[in-house]
Amino acid sequence: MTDRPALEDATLHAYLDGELAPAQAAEVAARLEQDAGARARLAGWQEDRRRLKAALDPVLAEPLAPRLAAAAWSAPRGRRRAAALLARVAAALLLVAAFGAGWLVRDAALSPAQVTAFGRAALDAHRVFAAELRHPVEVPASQAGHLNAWLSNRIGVPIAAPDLSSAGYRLLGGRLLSEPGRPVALYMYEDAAGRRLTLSLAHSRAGDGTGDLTFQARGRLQVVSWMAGPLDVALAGELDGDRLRGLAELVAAGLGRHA
Amino acid sequence: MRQAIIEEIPHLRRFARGLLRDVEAADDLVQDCIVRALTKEALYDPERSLRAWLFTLLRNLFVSRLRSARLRHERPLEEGDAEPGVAAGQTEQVLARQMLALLQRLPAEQREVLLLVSVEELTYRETAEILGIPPGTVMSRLARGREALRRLQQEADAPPLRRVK
Repeated sequence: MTDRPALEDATLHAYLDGELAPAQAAEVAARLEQDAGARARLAGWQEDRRRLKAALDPVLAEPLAPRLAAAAWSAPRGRRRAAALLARVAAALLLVAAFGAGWLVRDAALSPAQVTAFGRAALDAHRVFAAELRHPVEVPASQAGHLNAWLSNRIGVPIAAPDLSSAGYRLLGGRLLSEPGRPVALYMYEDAAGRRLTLSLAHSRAGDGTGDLTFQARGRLQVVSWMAGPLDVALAGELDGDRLRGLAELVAAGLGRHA
Repeated sequence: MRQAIIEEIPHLRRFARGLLRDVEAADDLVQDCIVRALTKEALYDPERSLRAWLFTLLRNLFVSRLRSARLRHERPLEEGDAEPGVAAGQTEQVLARQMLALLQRLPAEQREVLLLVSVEELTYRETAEILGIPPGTVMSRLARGREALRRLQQEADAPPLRRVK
């Protein structure tokens, strides 16, 4: 070992990762016998690699998240003909997967990615703003006329906060949010127990269309999103799916468009 | 194709979970990746491994999200939310979680190389193709990443922190 230089780190990494030809690897192994410093470095990396794998390998065994299965089955390709069959396959998959995961997703099978993404953004917005006790809205319901005109102007589609009082929710007011590339109108409602519901509306990028209700959940928070004419619509709250569906129908009727 | 993609989902999730510690954010990335793969299916070269192609898509989505998060001056995605309550228990589990936290402190370019080589066990060449960089760059980022991780790990393992127990 006297006239040999210490093992280089690059060689050691390649050795660790099995990148060396067998002859080279054997040579490194032999030289490691004589090089305590290199052995220690190698052992450190090896230990880190082991821990890293131990941290991430359990992900492989997790049950398939329903929304991911749904994404794989919902897709832009072969939409019409295969739709019915795919919906059934996806529904079955979801049912199986929903047991393992904390997710509850329904009707998501055939919804375009945009509707899903809008629902997700609405979930985030709900989480941030529904928690605001003192300033949940920018413009209060007492100025509903101004609120509707302002939000309509900003998102570029005429809208008015639907009346949900028959379901026990009164309008608190609204605010303007931004998604990358477009403004989003947010109306907030509250029931007698102080539970909040948020309705997000944005000018759809997909143009005119109607679509199925897509349900997604994060913990107890649920969101249903759909396309209604020129609007992307999402309704979020800590409600079960049936209740949310009922409210979505009310919203759809209130917006004067079909869900 | 759909079935083949579904079979790759666990690996996509593992890769994403290393890039973004937050489970929901990581799954968002996987979901976007699946949708992109199905819309861009025509671009898939059957000579190439499907997993490698999907990793490429996922990683590009990750990079563009980092970039747009930065443009919007958002909190960096890497920081993630507080972890949902997993009962702290086994030492092994604690170490594993500590490892994931430390991994997030590496620059994204080192993190992705480490994940592909050490966790996904891809070759340097495959990793280079996925990331669109020369194999030499893979090696230097890998070396720097492992070195940095070792340092962080040693700091975390240092006795002063242990005494708290």
